[in-house]
Amino acid sequence: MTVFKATLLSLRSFSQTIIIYFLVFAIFAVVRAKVSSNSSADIYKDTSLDVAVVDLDKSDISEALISYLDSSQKITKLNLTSEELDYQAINDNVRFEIYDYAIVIPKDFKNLLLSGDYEDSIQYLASANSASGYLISQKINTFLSDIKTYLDCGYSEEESINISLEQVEKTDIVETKIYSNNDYKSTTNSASISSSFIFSAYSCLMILTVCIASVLGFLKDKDSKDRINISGKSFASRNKELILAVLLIGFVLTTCFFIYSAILGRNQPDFHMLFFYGINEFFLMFLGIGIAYFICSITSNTNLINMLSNMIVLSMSFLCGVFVPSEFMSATVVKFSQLLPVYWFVDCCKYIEHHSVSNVFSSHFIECLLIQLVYAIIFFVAGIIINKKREQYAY
Amino acid sequence: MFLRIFFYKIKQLIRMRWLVGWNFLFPLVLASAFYLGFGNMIKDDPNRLDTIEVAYVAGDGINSNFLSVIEELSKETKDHGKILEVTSFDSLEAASDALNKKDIEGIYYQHDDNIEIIVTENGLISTSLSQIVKSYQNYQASFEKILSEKPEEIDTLIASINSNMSFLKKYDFKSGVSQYMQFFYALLAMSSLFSSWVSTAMMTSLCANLSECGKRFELAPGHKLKAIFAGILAGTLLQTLSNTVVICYVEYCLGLHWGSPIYMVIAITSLASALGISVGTLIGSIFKNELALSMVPLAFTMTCSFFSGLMMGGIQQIIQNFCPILNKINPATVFTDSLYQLACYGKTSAYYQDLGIMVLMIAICLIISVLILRRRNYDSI
Repeated sequence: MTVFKATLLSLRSFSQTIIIYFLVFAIFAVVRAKVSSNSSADIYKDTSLDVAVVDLDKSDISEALISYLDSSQKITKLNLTSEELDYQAINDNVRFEIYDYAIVIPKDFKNLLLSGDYEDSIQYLASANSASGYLISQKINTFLSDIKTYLDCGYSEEESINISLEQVEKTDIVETKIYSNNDYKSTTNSASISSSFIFSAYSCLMILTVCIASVLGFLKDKDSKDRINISGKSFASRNKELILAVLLIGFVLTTCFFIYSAILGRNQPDFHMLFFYGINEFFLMFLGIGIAYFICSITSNTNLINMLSNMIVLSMSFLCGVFVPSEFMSATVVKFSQLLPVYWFVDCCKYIEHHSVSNVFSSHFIECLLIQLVYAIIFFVAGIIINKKREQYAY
Repeated sequence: MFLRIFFYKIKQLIRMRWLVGWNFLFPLVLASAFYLGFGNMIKDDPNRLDTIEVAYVAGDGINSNFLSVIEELSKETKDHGKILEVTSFDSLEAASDALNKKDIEGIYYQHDDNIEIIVTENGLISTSLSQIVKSYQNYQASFEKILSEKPEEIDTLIASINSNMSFLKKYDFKSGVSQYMQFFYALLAMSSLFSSWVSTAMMTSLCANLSECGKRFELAPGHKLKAIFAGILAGTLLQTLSNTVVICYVEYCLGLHWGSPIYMVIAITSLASALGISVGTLIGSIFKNELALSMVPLAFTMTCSFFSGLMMGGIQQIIQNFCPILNKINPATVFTDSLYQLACYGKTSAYYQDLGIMVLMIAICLIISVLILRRRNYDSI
């Protein structure tokens, strides 16, 4: 097992690379998992938006408005004074979707409402012409219109607020049904173990391609190659040992990512589907090995290997929905990304997420796995052809 | 001597094929991938309120008040565009069929004094459809209550409902830049920080313990610091050129506007390139292992870029709310923030602060590098 040992030993010189990559990606994954948390369901639920409120009035009417919004939205009260109020900071939070909407209730809002000089008195910040902006504006206008109408009709201030609050509570009940068309592609759920696995596609492919391509490149070094050639081993057994060593490296690295993704998603409701995510992850391993072989057939320079790996993996990750969900992409791009192998990994993760244990093992699931395998073979064959051509031209 | 080394360094850097690939090709490939991936989101905001195509199905003997309300919402007003596009269907089956074919996005089914909504998924569309029914039910409830308790106020009530009260006014910064341009700002930041590889490669040829060229350089009786600064300038120039290509490619070939005049973007990016080169010089002077010289800049660049929003939009704002100091020490975020400030708010104090921080970072990196590199001894040679 000389070649096997030599291959594994050569990996030692890349241990720093592996540790640095793993640490960097581990941090990325943790941050991503902490930041993305929402849920979707098959039963109807109003979308709850993040609304920031600056209440400079602090009257019973403004408190009632906040209390009403709080019943259906996620409210963040910003305790600011007029002097501390920084519209730019609030706008930054709205632009970067920390809040979907922000309102500033002015000082003397209550007096303005009572005097009838309320027109456009509350300022709001929302993305230009956004749906969330329309939705919350509608809610606020409806509620305040109620209060104003009751005040105009002779009800006292307290009565108007109480009646309006009771009324919106009653009328907020609308019978809504979800019509299921079994289209799993239309929804993504970040409160699922699949989001950890989808993100791991980038990290796992990067480490696999960089490490395996670097190891194979190291073995292509003239000195190492000559030493292996004179070892007395036959061509077949040398290659068998090399393949075994590469598979072992791939398996160990993928297992690390699998365990890490499982730990990140241990509290998710679909944790029991781990086995299927595991199968998908290990088919990705073959793809990683294929890409690594292809890259190392082009170059054995570590810098170039890093460059090509980043170029291939990062671009594929962006196009195939690893970082930005494919629902946001245009139909043409989604069609194009279907030509890329990572799309099928992501698709398989989504498929597992939306199916139960009993019916996940379907033709589509197998199709996704096989496509990844076929791509791995294509990369591998391309690598062999390039190697062969280079050998031909070398003589 | 300065100019001669400067031109030699430019020649030397251009001959490093992988370096040219990294700095010229990689940002272009990634910019194209970004454009393909979410170029449509920049040109056409996914959060925009589009007209919702909805079906209306009425059961037997139903009054058409609600239909009038939703037909009213199908008209464009000065406050908003068309909210709904209503199509009436005779049966629920036909409407469901249209929903299944995605011809419509939801169904209003009015029957037995009840308005039911049928949608395919939870989200803003379904909530907006639901909010319309809630507002309708609310007005109806107000009407019934006031009529039963204070019928004498009917005129006030009708006047109040017809007045179409508006309590809200948008605070608008009038920034025409999409929030998704942040990905491209982060791409420029990554591209600029990748120039740290230029300087680590350059340092390799200047250090006697790393290359043959370094041995010859250390033996030469020239001024070392002058040579290093000539190299830094050459690297910065090369990186600025590469960033200019990316900036022009995004602006003119992809048709995405940076939000500020292109010469300003190039000027700020030149500063970021100098920052990347300085960081690389610092890394090159600290680390002596060849593998570390390629891995540390890569890990540093990717980490900084991640936290500036390259792979996850909005992360820099989350950091800003919880630990703003991190944003101030991350060169990629400082750079993206300067572009963002300029595009959205103009030359504010925050913009000048960002530029100041970048200059300070460059100075700190170079001073530390000089302190490490001066009078360096090689005990082992």
